[in-house]
Amino acid sequence: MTRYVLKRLLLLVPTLIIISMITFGLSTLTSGDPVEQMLGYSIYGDEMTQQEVDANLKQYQLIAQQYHYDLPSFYFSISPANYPDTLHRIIPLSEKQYVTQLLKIYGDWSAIDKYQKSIAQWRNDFLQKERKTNNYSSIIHILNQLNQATSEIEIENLLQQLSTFDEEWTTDQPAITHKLFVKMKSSSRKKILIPKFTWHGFNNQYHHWFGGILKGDFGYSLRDRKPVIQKIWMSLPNTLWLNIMTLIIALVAGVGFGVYMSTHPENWGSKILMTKLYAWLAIPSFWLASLFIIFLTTNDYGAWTNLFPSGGIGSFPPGASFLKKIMIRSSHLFLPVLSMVLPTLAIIAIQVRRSLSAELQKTYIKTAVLKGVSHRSVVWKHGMRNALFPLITLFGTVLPGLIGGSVAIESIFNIPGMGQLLLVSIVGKDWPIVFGILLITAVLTVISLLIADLLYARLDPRIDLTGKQSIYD
Amino acid sequence: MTKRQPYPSFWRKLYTRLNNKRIFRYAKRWFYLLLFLAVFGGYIANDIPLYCQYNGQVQFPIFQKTLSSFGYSTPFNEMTNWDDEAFTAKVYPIIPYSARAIDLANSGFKSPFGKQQIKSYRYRHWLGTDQIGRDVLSGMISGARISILVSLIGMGIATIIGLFLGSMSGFYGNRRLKFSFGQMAFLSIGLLLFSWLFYALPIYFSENGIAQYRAIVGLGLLVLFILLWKVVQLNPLGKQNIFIPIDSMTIFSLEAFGAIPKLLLVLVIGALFPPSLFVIAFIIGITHWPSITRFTRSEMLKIKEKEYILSAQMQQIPQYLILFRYALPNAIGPALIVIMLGIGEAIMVEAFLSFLGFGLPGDVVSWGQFLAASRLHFSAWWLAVFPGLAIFLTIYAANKMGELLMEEMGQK
Repeated sequence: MTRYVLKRLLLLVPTLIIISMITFGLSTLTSGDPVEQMLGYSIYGDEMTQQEVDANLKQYQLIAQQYHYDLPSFYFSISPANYPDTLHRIIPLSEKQYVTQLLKIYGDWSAIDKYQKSIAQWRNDFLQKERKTNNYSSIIHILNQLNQATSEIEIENLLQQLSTFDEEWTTDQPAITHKLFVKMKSSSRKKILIPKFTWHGFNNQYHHWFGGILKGDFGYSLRDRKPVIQKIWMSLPNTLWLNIMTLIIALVAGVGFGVYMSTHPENWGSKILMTKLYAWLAIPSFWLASLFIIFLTTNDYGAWTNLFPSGGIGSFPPGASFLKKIMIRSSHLFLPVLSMVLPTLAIIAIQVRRSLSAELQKTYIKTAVLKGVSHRSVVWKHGMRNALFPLITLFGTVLPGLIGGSVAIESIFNIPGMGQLLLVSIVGKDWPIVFGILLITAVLTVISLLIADLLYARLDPRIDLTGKQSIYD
Repeated sequence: MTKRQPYPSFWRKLYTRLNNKRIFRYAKRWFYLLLFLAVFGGYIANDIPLYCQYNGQVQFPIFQKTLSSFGYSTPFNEMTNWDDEAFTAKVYPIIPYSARAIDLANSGFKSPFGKQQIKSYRYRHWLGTDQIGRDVLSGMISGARISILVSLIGMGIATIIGLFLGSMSGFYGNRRLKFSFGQMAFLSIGLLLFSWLFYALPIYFSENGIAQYRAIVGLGLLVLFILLWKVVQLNPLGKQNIFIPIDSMTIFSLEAFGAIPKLLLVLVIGALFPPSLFVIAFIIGITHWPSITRFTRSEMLKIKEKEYILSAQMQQIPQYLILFRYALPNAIGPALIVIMLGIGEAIMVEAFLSFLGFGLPGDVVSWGQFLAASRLHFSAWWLAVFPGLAIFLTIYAANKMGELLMEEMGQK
């Protein structure tokens, strides 16, 4: 047994690493600049002077360094050969995206670098000019556009527009930029086809992120820079309440129904129950919840339909007794739990009926009946023991389903749990929280699956733990 | 009349037995109805006429619109005013509203039983309207198409991945998928190179603007690949074999994927990409393959011990032929159960995404969007009840068909 437990625990490690990689991989696909979101303002603007932009950039750099956004994202990268090794160091993100776009269109990195720097120089020179003419704002506007233009036609067009203001320039930077643009345009693009492998070492975003998670640090919210784990921890109890209540009720009722249906298969009650259960299985819990909240919590359909509070988990008046607290909480949780219970209950009841009916056909049950064991004892002691094994594995599918389903239920009934936090964070593009929740629920699921497996192995003596056979066969 | 075969095939026998059950026939008819609405929905609910005369000339506007979407005919302009006197003898479809048409006179949640501002009963909104006056019934008909498309494409992707991985891992196990050293090196390098070019070629050719180049280069690479594979089969690098532990690899990915709650994963991926029908189908595909894989794998473990497989192996038929010609067709039947259950789940997932606002873009009407709209206005019960009932019935029918299949095939 110890060897088996150790083996399972060892297998957990690569699973967790893979899950973390999937989660991190998804997080690299997000749009938006996390550092700018943390800053709360945009670092560029048409009206800003160079000094303001520089100050903003310094602030940006500080935050990017603090939260590791200036590091390469993974241990290694594979990129076209014309990409520089230090692409990740370019900040801010918009600048990096602009350079990457240029790299995809033009082949030579050094030419691109020089061209891009010369535009910045051009803009800077122009800003430093003492005398400001009427054309000032329109020129700045075009220069800003030039600093974002990537395609050949676009750049040529903008340079054409700028050449009409030839008397404005005090330096020969425009001519240099023109020359550099022509050089960049004519550079060879063949390098794009050649792959280049770059090793970035351990100082990368994934390493810091995963290392932080092992220490219990899931990163920081982009909204208010609070620790992610703190926000999740605040909302976890409500979700757990909802799910544990659902699970307990579904389990008790499901097993009861299942046993009734398999011991009285010819009874009309169990036939009706059977059709009901398949219907419950097909009801999407979010539809049921919407129906409940529409028909049972408002005065719209007559006063008597306003049976339940319409949302939240209820607040306790000061000095409320324990009984009163339970009353308030349960009146708020009744509908959400009910809408989650029905489909879960159906799965459990159908599974119990199926496995118990199969067990009750077996000869050892006949033996027990023939030797005079009471009916109750035959069903609950002999039959149920064997019939419950599939139920343990069923937890693997029920638990993640419940956690996912509670997202919609929480948002319908306005319960401040993890699901609602997830939705709010997705809408607000607060990605560290989203991926923190994804990872935590995955880890919770993996651990509960492991416990189910170990329980299974502990309870069922037929399972071979010597390790000669693969545990999956 | 076709002659009935003396020995009906396995599938025909299965179908006959299933068809004897009343509930299966109802479920089947429900899906036929959905398929019919998906294909011909535009002819049942639309705000342009089926038939009309334009200056005495016979026209079939909806049919012409269908043709034009295949590129055969010029459609009427979107802005055509059908109330114009030039159009005579107009025949409208049964429901004279399209899913997106806004009936301003009946905006603001008109109840199906309440008073509606209509010319005659011909124009009644039988299932009410939503906030901006769109007809719920025609919206549901257009939603049927979305549900069918999303679930079929999504489960198609899942089925391809699931059948392939499941049958490979079940059939080959850990010690039977072997390659010579040369083959292995060629395969791995070729795969890496191919995926690299898949990424780099579009970048390289996008600026040069020579799109047809891409196809030619891709085709050339494929031919080169096949030719080189023939060379590699001569084993120039010796016959040292390398095993691919495909079973462990599959099991491992199943475990890792199974750990992340499916609905959360769907939600996050749905939020990451701009929503479209194919993105949602793709999301459903890549989140639903594990159950098909698991089922096919366990079925394959049973099949590979059967006598006909052993006898095929005695005849020195290549392994991959045994797998794809003998073993896989026999594993498809049981996998059909999971696929059927998956179709119900796919429809649920699409509704779930639309319900939370991460589903299809606003100009497409789907069942889940009505449910989402009903949350804003509790007294508009028809927005929740009817589309929800359609979702429920579809899932119920799919579940029931899967369940009956399971019973007939004697699976646990």
